[in-house]
Amino acid sequence: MQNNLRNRISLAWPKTRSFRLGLASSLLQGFSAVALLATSAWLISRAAEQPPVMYLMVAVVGVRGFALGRAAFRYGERISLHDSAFRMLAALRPRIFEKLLPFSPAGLAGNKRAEVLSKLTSDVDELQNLPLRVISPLAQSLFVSVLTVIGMSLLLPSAALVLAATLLIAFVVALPASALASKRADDSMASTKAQLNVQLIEILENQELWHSLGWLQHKTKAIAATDLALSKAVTRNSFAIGFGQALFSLLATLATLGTTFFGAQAVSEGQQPGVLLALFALVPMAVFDVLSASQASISAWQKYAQSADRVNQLLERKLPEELAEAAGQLELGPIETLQLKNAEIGYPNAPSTVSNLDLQISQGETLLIHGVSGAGKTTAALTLANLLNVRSGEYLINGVPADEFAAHEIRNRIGYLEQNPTIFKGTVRANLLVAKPEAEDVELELVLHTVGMSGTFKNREGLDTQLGERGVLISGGEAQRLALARALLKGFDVLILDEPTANVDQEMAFELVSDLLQIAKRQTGRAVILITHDEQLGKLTQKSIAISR
Amino acid sequence: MVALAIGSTVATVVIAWNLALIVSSIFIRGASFETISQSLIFVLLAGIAKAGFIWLQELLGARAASSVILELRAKLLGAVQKLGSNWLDQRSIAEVSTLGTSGLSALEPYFAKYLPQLVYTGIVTPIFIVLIWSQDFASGITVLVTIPLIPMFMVLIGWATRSVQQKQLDSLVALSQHFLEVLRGLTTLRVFGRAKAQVQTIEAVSEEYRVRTMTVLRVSFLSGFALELAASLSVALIAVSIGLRLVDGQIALFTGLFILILAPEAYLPLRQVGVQFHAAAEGVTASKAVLDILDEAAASKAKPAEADSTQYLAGALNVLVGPSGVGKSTMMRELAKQSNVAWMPQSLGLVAGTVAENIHGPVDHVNDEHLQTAKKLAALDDIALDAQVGESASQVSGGQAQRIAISRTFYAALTNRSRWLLLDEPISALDADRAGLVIDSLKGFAADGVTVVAITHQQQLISAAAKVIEVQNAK
Repeated sequence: MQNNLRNRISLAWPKTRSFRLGLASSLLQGFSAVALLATSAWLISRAAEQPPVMYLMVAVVGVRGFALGRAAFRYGERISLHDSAFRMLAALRPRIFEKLLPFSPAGLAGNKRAEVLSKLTSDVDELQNLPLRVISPLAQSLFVSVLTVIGMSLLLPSAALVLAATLLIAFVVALPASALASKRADDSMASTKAQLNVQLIEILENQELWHSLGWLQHKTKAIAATDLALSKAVTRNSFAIGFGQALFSLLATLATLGTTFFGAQAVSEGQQPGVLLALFALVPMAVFDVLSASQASISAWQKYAQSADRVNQLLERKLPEELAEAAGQLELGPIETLQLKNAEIGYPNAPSTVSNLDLQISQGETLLIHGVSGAGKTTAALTLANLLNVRSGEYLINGVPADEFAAHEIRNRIGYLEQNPTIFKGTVRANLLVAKPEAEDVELELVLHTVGMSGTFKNREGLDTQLGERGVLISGGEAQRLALARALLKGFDVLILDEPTANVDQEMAFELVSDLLQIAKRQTGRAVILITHDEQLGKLTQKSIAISR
Repeated sequence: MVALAIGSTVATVVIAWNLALIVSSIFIRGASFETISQSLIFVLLAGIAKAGFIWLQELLGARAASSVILELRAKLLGAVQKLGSNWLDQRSIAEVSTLGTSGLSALEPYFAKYLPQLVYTGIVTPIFIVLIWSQDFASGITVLVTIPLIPMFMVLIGWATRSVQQKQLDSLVALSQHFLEVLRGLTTLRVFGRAKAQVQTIEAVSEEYRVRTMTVLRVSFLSGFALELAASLSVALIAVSIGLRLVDGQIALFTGLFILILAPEAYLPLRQVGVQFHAAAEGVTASKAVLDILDEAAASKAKPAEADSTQYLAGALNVLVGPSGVGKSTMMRELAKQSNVAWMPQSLGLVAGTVAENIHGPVDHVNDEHLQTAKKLAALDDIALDAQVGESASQVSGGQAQRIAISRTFYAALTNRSRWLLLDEPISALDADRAGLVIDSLKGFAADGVTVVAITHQQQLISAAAKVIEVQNAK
């Protein structure tokens, strides 16, 4: 629990100078706000005793200074804290990227991958709220509270006690009450909201049908009933939310009442100078005013904590053995043979998909691996691409166990083309340069020509054509060709094509694959492994092997 | 709302008044401690009242907001129904339903917080100004001059930084998207050995974003700065001016304190408007699409049905044939817009619930006899009426789903005494025996004087028809 709290906080705690600066500004701002009212109260009280004006000058300067300070420190706080939050995120994003890297693709939730990644992205964005909306307002409130209570206890312990008690209740009860109520409200309304959503979709889908059946009115009424239930829940919850705010306001009055009471008593009994009475009456309100800024921080904390937990979970994930990068030192020359011997392969945290796989491919050969969906074709492909380790048995490259080579050596020789190739948002050029950053335009044009795409971008903006935007996106077949172009540019010895026809019409599939194979084979000696569910494509390769569980 | 605002103001004034009274009577007049007990009680009562008003304001705000949203949602549904399915075809249903749920919920802060705060400010601020003015002319002037400065600064700076702020928002989205893209492309980057380089790119992009955003924030936070400065400097001005006049005896301590307590309260509502403004603005943007649809519906006129019903043989089984995509379904859809029609579209429109619920629908009274007849006529003999259909008919077979939809159509025809029976591909998923039973039922309806029209590709149904209509190009 405590460990968990520390993990949550340390995740997004900016370790920068700007954060310390922002936090200091925040504390000074809170201090200035209270000091402004305290000094003003003292100034007016002292003035009422009609001393020479020079005795008031320090207070006058103080009042003006604190007024300026309050605004200036607030500005400084916001600037510094935002800066620190951005710096924190800038450091965290690469960390997450590096953490995820060895997990990709086999260790990332299969069909839900896109969803998981987009959730992760928004979780990361959420993290900036820790310094901005949680730490700063809470620290400011605590600082001002403690400082004021200490200050008051030096003058009048009884008043300080009242102030401390009301502040404590405010922190422990009033502030969390609203936040907890809002959270409970969100939770309790979630199912009603989901129901409303389903009903809305149904009525939109069947509007005409239901109209003809005479059901539309009833269905509309049912939606109105759900809506009403939702509305009642909102009202019910606002009762609890309002309670927290009302209690907070009442505590402010009670604090004022208490300090004024003891202050007045002390003054009338001559224990305290009368000039201080206004301070006792006015300062509690100023403190509670500062505190009100942290009313939203508990809600913010709850939202943050959920995101932080998910991000932490990810950062603490252990790399399964199947995904450990090869730690060998050997250099790897041109690939002559790839060989799986009695290999047991499978995704991490899942049963083995194939338990005794034997296959071999040599320089210049083409191999088809086919099987029904779920048979373990992609598992085999990832294993051959060294993106997944064998559980038992052997994976030999040029007769040497794969893990004796340095990982990047294998990476340079074996290329793997995903089922859904990633086309990055950006230009055609940028997409190609991923493979070879130093390539010049001539080389890029040439490789586009090789994959039969020399005409595709002519009428657009050539290499500057933007890809990845909705609508301008190329077709499934074109994406495969572009991905192939990228792979050719890199000049792999072995190319593994995973279901290149997944997003292509049935009639086009044969043509595309035969084309891809021909193109890939232009470099003499290159071996090509084709993964597909379509046995027919075996006509195009020299060897074929069936995979089944 | 107005009463609440005034009540809350009165409570604030009572507290300020009595606190000032307590301090001045004890400090200046040396009154005994007992004399202030009445004032203390007033403060307590006013404090309780104020808390009550805050509670009520939260309640009423939430209630008002949810009733407005309730009404808007009903209006949105009405508008979509009025605009009709042709309009809906051009939109995605997911988009419209998202608008109806989260789009409208985004309006909540606008109605629950922002609008009440605006009304509150409009009522309360003038009261405070007048009060302060009546007590002390000089302080009144200060407040009167500085208060309008706050919205003026906000508007001016907001106006000056709007385009940069939009750019900042865009670049924030771009930054998130870049990160997401990189994560999606992890495998590709890894295969091509570009992962290490990408780490530096992420750092560079984030850093560039930070620098650019901070430049914008330095300007756009100025509006908050101006606001705070105007509020706190005017309190300082008032305090100093009162203090200096107290020394000369031009003003009483009571008045001075009273104004000092009230002055921050005069600025508070306006500062709160600033706080609520952002959430409210987001809600308004999100709901703009909803309001657009309402406008569109208000401007559109209901189109009369464009169906030609004369070509069908009355009281007989008619069959529409023709290649797919020629517009047969559209023809039938238009025909279904007439009254007294029982229609079964090609997308069956079954909903989660029991088989019976899918047949008779959400009605108050179920006609059991018709229900049994409809079930029998549709050859729905292999599933119980209380069986669950499941979401998107996931718990029944394709043939069962089709026959449930036929039962539903028959039930409607029997119950509403429909004169037309329209079925789009009714037997495409049925075996020959059951298809035969359904065709017999169709003939039976025709014999009772109902004009039956069916779209089909099946020879079995075509050969049973009294009239076969070839659709060439309905469009």
